Amino acid sequence: MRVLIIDDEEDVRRIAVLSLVNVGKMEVIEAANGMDGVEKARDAQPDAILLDVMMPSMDGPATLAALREEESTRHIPVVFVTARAMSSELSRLRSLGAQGVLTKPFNAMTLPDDLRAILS
Amino acid sequence: MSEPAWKVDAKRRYYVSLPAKTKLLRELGKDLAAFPDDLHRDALHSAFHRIHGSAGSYDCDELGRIAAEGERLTCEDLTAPVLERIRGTIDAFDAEVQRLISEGPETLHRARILIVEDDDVTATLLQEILEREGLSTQRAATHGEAVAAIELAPPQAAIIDLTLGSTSALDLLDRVWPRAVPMIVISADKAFETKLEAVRRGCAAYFTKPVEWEELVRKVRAVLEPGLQVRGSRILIVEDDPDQIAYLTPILERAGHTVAPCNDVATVEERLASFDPDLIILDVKLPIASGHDIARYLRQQERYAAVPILFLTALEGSGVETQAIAAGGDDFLRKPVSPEMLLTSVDSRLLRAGRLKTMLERDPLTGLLTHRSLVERIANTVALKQRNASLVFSLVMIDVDFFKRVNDTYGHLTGDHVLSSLGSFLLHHLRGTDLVGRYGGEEFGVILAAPPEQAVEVMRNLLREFSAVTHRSDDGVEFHVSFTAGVAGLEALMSAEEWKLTADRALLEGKRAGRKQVILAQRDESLFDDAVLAPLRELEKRSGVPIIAELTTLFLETLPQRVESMQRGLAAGDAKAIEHAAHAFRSASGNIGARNLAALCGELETAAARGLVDEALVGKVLSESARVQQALRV
Repeated sequence: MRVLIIDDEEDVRRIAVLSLVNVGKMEVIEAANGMDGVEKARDAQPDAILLDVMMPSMDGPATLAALREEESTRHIPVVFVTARAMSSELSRLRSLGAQGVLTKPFNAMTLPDDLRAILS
Repeated sequence: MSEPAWKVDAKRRYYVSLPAKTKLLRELGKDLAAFPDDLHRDALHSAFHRIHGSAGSYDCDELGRIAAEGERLTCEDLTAPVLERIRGTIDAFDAEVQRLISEGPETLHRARILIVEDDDVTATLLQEILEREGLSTQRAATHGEAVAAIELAPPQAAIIDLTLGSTSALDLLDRVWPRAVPMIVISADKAFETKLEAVRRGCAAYFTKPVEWEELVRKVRAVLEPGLQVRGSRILIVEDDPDQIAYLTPILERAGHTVAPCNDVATVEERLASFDPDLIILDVKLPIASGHDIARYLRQQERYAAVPILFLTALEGSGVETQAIAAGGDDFLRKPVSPEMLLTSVDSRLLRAGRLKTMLERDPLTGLLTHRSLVERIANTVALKQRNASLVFSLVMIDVDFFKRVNDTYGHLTGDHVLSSLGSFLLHHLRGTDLVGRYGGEEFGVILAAPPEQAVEVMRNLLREFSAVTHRSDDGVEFHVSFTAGVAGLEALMSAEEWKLTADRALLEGKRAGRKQVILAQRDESLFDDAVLAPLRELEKRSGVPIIAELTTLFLETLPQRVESMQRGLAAGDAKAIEHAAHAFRSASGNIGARNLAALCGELETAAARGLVDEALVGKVLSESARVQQALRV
């Protein structure tokens, strides 16, 4: 399984990569902004995308919209990543068309399973 | 055709309440825009619904129509256009309220509040605050001006600074009182005697400076609404002589008490049950039964055993006193009674019964410790622990959830009912060894002789039960109220302040996490959250990568830059910049498990997102980050 993580924060990407690779035995591609993310999604065709909500310039919802506009990335399931755990915020994000929402900080040991649970 | 006076009066009160209604709708509307879920939808929907139901009765048909529109819109799917239209409806409501208030017929003029204050700054501030609430104000700087203003046209209420220049305004209260103008006193004088004096002279509330403005506005609203005047204590007079009753009643009423006469001994029991007095004045010589007999009977009833009894007697002789005390009376008064004597005896008895004290704080929660006693008990408990380390105590700080909304929605009388019901609920459901107090406002404190884990268990059960209690507003609307609690165990070497702060912090954490829960305080020294760190340690083992060290280095490397961007945002007063800096900082601290720092950053982020530049909060974040930095470097 190949996962693309789009997050502007290095530490978040680092934890996600180590966890998904070592615990989840997944292949991971990183992108530090929305623009780069859309491009990598097109090229690498991942099975899922972890997408940070709050990023400078192109934020999560905008990136999702761009992914949905592209023929080649439209089908890829997207899971939002946010530090805001309020239920209203979660339902707002889901209503944007994401598969689900994961809250930060991640549990480094359960992240791969949490992701799989959302995708299944 | 002119309307009957009661209707004009009712309309005026309704008009006065309109700005508060607009404010509530605005708040609820904002909440709904931010969180378009069913909870927020229902809150706004029922607010519109109530206004729709009542506006017509006050001939505000257009307002009712707008509210009906809001009611309808809040049933639709909350799409962006619908939310936009809801906002438009609230704007229209606001505009209509403004129109009603400015164009209302002369007879419906806004309630006028007389401000008797010689200090220009305070007076102007007060006028601004009250006028923002839709009230009109009038200022008097001296006694003479105040009296003249009141004689000319009595205002609906007066706010009187007790210290006008160097003279006391107590005399002024005597002049104002006969005009039946509710008086609210503000004063720099904190002496209990002065408060007592002012209450005796009929003031409805006493605020010491610095005044809590919000509280003052609430009080002004309370005296403007009928049936919400500060009720002093409830006094039952059992006396067969109507002249005596006619003499005593106005003296007591003027002192702020509610008086019920009972001139037939046969109905005493019934009157007691229906009136539920705080104090009883008993004539010794009554037909059928003597006052002494009644007192003896009352003392045998658990319900009335603690109610103070004052005997009224015309009998001369030294045996009278002994007889009265033997019968269970607390004091006796010889007829004819002077007003001073009557009030002194009544007040001192009430004071002893612990009721007047709470009355001055406008707090009918009898039986609960007051703020001061609770603080004293906390200190005593800490001292106890220092002498005997094996003793176990927990402190619970409790806050009623969304209490302001209860007050705004159902009125403060209902709000007070909720507070007193929580008070007696706690009192009755905790053990005799546990201490329950009202810390202030809607905050309660409980000291339990139990380890914190057990206290958490107890409180969770209480929360479940209390949340199931149905409260009822004056107009019969049923609702439920929950609370949030923070629990802290008393540790050896902890000071009273630390104990309280630790419980407060847990309470705050519970509120941040969405309220209606009981949180056990984490020990302060644990800067880092094990729930985050444990999996990271596990991952280190699994991957062979020293991830915690990596993250720590990254955190420390980026810290100066984060601090700088926050300071820059603060210096520029740029809320947006602060919001972004706080967001990134929160994420970074969350990743290394720096829980407090992450929580503070989250708080800052939320505040900044609302456009606030909170310098103090930035300061807190920076000092907490210094602590974390130090801990990480070790």
